[in-house]
Amino acid sequence: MDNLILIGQAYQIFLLVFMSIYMIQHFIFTYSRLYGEQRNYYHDILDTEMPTVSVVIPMHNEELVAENVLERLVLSDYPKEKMEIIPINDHSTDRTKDIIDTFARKHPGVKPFHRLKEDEKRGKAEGLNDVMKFTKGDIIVVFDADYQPAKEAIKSLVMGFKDPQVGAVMGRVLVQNSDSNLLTLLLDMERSAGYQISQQARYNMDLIPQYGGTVGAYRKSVVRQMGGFDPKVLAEDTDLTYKMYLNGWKIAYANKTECYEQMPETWAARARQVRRWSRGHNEVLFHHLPSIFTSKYFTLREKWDGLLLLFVYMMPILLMVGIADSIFLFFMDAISIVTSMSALLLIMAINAFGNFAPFFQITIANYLDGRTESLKLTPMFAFNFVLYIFYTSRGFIDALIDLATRRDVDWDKTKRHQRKNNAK
Amino acid sequence: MPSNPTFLMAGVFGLFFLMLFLPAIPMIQAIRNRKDVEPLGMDMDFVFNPRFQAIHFENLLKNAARDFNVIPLEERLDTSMVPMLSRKPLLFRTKGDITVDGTIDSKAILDAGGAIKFHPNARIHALKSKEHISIGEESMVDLWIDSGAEVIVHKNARTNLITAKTVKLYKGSSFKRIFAGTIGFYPLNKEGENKIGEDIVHTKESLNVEAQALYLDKNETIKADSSIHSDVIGRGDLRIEKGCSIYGSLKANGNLEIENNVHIYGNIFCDHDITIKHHCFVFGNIFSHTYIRIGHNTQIGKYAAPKSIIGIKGIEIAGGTFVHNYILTYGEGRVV
Repeated sequence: MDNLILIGQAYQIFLLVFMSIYMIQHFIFTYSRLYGEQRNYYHDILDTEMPTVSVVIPMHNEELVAENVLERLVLSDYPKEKMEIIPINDHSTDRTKDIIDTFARKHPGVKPFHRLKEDEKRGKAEGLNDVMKFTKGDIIVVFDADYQPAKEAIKSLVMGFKDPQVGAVMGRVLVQNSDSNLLTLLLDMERSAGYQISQQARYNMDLIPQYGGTVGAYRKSVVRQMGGFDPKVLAEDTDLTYKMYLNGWKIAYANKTECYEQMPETWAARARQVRRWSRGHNEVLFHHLPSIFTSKYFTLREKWDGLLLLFVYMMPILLMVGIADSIFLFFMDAISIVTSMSALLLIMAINAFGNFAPFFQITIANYLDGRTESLKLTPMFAFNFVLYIFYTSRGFIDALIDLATRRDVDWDKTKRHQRKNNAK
Repeated sequence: MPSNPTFLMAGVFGLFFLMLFLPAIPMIQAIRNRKDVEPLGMDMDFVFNPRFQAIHFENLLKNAARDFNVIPLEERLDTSMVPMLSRKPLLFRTKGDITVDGTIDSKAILDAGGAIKFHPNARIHALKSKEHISIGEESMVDLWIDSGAEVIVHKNARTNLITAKTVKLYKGSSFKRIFAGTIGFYPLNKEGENKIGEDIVHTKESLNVEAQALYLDKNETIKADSSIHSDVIGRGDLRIEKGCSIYGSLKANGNLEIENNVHIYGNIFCDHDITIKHHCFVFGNIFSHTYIRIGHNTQIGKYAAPKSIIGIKGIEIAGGTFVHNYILTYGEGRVV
């Protein structure tokens, strides 16, 4: 029993150190964004010689939003002769096929790609791999179907590839339906923290900005050389991020290249989304962890950030174990009353990185975005705790089972809502 | 102070929970008020291209009668013509040519149908003309110069944004952002010095190329007269010796130094300072997160193939250099 208590105590110390590292990282990120030197993206470059681009939009049952995204894309200021728009109809059973076919008849630059064969597996990675076989573009730009890109978004994303070291570019996502309910507003605030601070600070500090799978672009030749997207990985975006860095490429972050997306409007949908993200992210953790240590292309600071980024979805389960451990130590009388409050500290701390953005980071991000009144909602993030710790942990267990059984993964699409345009 | 430890502990916990729930009061108010809940606004039509900014300038003057105190002029604008009191910003208008002398109001705009000529040491907020604009020595235009023809910025004059067909800048003048078909930095080079690179390309054995680029892991120098047919990526400082030709883009994570007579048929990107010495030719964009220094008689881009020079913290360009189309810095641009 003594040994068990010793292990329990050691675990508490390990966990508090681990949490502190994350907390310090978020402090540094926030400081960098507030007072540090900001690294400019390549928006300002004017160049008439642009590469050929294929804009792909994976779609599965997207009848509510399909036309919106296509309408926005045909308004793009990218040279028409150098751009093709390819909506991927991935086994839709609703009116998606009719909508995109009708739209394509009116707009010659839109070339629908239907994935309807019964023996084909449905999924974003499969769709993107298939489309890469015939696209003409040197650069692939990806938007999800619920996104609304601005007129200059494609040009701005593609400009990043003028830098020969850039393998992928990521833009910023804004929440379109933040006024729907309290959940969407909170998610909007959380999103701000992720992009306005974490992503930009990572870009400022030469760390690892994440490719997010949408409002993003990548070099086709590079991704093909890497063997395309792995259909067995649910988070194809995180997987691509690490593959890029493992092969010596960098990811550029374009904070001003904004694009609207829809957030889940119910807690159940959000829970499913968090679980899916956690599962996919942890799959990438299992897959790439050893390579980060051995890669010659990762700088020391990139290794450090890469590891912290990889472990972020593993923290909730470690914390859950930590809470159980602290209760066990308390009843074994092996922990003083002050240290037993670490259970409470853990509850508070999960918000520090369970949602990847501590209170102060969320507050500063929204302040930078010009919000005032909704900053008062910051304490509400404490209620995310139960949801995140539970569903992120379930996602981790899913990923463990995936690893053990090599089972196939199924794409679980977030429910869409029909909305009016928020654009100015 | 209670001496009983149980009371003390209860007090500590009480205080803890009070502090925990204090933020709930404004939080509940915020939920009830439902202010500030709209999605963040995004301008779907926003464009960075300064050509559109010039259109914006034109649109600004369309409602001149409503937004400005419009003052018609003949051939001359000087300090004596500036009204003492004006609630609206001043807009001086003339259909013909005009000369400007002295310091005009700091918010004043001059809109001329003909050419504009600045006397030395004059100052105004913004200028617009379809004809030539000449900014005199030691003069200053705080915000904007927009011309349908040529803008000449004389010695030690200070400007901000210039949009024009052609811009000439003389030694000691400064700028922030220039958009023009051709931008020349004077004094001019002698005839024939400003060659375009094809006729002096050296072909030597190319260096070892890793995958899609020549990948240099630490501080490296590319030897004189090398010819490289790929992108070059340097993880540290990178130095390109004289006479090299690079048929691809260049990227350095450290500083980048390019010696005389180097020809680069691609873009140049650098995380730190870029120094390009004399008689070089770059057919691509030049982007530095810090400073760019360009020596004399260098040419950037070709006419009708617009490229950019962007030095976030500052740009220094010597005489005899030509740039086709766009220069930007958030620091100070200087002609040396």
